[in-house]
Amino acid sequence: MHDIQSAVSGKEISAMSVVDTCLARIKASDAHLNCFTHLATDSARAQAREIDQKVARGDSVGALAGVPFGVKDLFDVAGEVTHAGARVRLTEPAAEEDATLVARLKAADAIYIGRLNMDEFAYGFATVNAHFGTTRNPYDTDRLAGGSSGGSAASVAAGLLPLTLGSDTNGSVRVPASLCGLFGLRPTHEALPMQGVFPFIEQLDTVGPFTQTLGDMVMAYRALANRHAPSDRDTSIRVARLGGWFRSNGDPVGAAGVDAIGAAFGNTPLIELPLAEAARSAAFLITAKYGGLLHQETLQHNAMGYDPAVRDRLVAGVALSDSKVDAAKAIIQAFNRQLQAALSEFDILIAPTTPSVAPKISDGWIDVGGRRLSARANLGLFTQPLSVAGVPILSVPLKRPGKLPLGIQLISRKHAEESLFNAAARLVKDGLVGFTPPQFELQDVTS
Amino acid sequence: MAKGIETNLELLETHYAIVAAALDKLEGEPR
Repeated sequence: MHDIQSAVSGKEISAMSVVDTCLARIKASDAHLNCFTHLATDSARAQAREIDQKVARGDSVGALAGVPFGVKDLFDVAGEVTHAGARVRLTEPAAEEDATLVARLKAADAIYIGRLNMDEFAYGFATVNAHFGTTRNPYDTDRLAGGSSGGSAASVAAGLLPLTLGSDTNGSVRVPASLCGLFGLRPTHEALPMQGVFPFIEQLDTVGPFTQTLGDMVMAYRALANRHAPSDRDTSIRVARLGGWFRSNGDPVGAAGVDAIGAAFGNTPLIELPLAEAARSAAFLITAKYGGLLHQETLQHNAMGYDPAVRDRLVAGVALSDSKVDAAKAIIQAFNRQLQAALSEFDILIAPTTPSVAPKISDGWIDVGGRRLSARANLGLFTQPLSVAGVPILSVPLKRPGKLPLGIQLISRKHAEESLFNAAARLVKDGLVGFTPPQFELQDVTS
Repeated sequence: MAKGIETNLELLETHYAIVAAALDKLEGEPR
């Protein structure tokens, strides 16, 4: 992204040629991946023209000048219908204005390219959408990209866009970031404005970026948060590995990755959050209940318009009693106390992002501790409990060339995103973490 | 009731059982 900004602002390349190249790559590849639900070709070219005119006049341009970006299909973009991956919203009126974060990116002269596929109403970890199709993983198109922000992740991994936005309620940025080998950030809850974003569970909802590199992630986050680089950097970082629930339910590759990253920070203890499993179940219940209530009215008059798998989950959620929801809230409070205690002792906690690499689309299952579980509901096994705490979490891609990607979560205190970036920078420098381009890009885009 | 809804209700009960057991342990008394 820095290279694009520098080349565009330095007149080495026009924003128009960046957009045209980007659109050509999408045209060549997206039929195989199904990342996009809408391309904003005309407005992208119009915005590129404006940027080129600014450069020609010698006017200053933004920090993301000429950087193409896309958004999950739940962000408002003026003049477009926000479908949120749902057929029942096809006839909704177009948004009148951009979501705040879309406006911020455009104000930084990033160029909006289009909308990206997702699980219907963000309820799933697979991006298997009954209406808009399944998004495929660029590392193996027979496998899931993860979800619910699957289009946002797969498009960046395939090199179609350098920057996309997704949303993360229970893991919907981190899960696809893990399966597609990217950096994906769930920021501190309420750190980034949600205006113009179709909600799911407001007490858990966050939005965050996907990028191939850590440098791009830092650049994107600072533009989204309207922040500058901090003057001081963490010199010593106290790190602990999360065991228990996060160690006993996943692929040993994830545990080995956590250990390798832990070793990079010296002697990192293995600690447990005893309520992690219960917190995951509590998040599951809260999501079902409040998701169900959000959609109750629409379900009453248009239930058949929903993706059947999503509809059944929402309808069941409405039926959940208040006393059970209260019990879930009590567990979340107790889990938060455990997590805060750990984060008062350690700056960074580390855990696998997903229990496995991307499963085959035809399977739809993952193997967890010898049990076969639905991928759609369980890829968030390790992201979901941490979501309830509102803390920032960066999923970083383990460096494992030639193998399917797998991510590791770096977790810190509220508003400590810069600490996450500092810790990740050390891992990138050590060669433990980083993006490995999929063979897909080499075969399909350059041919 | 549709089979899919029934399956999801069962799943929610499974998760509630995990929550309830953890809460019992925290409070030191059966629920």
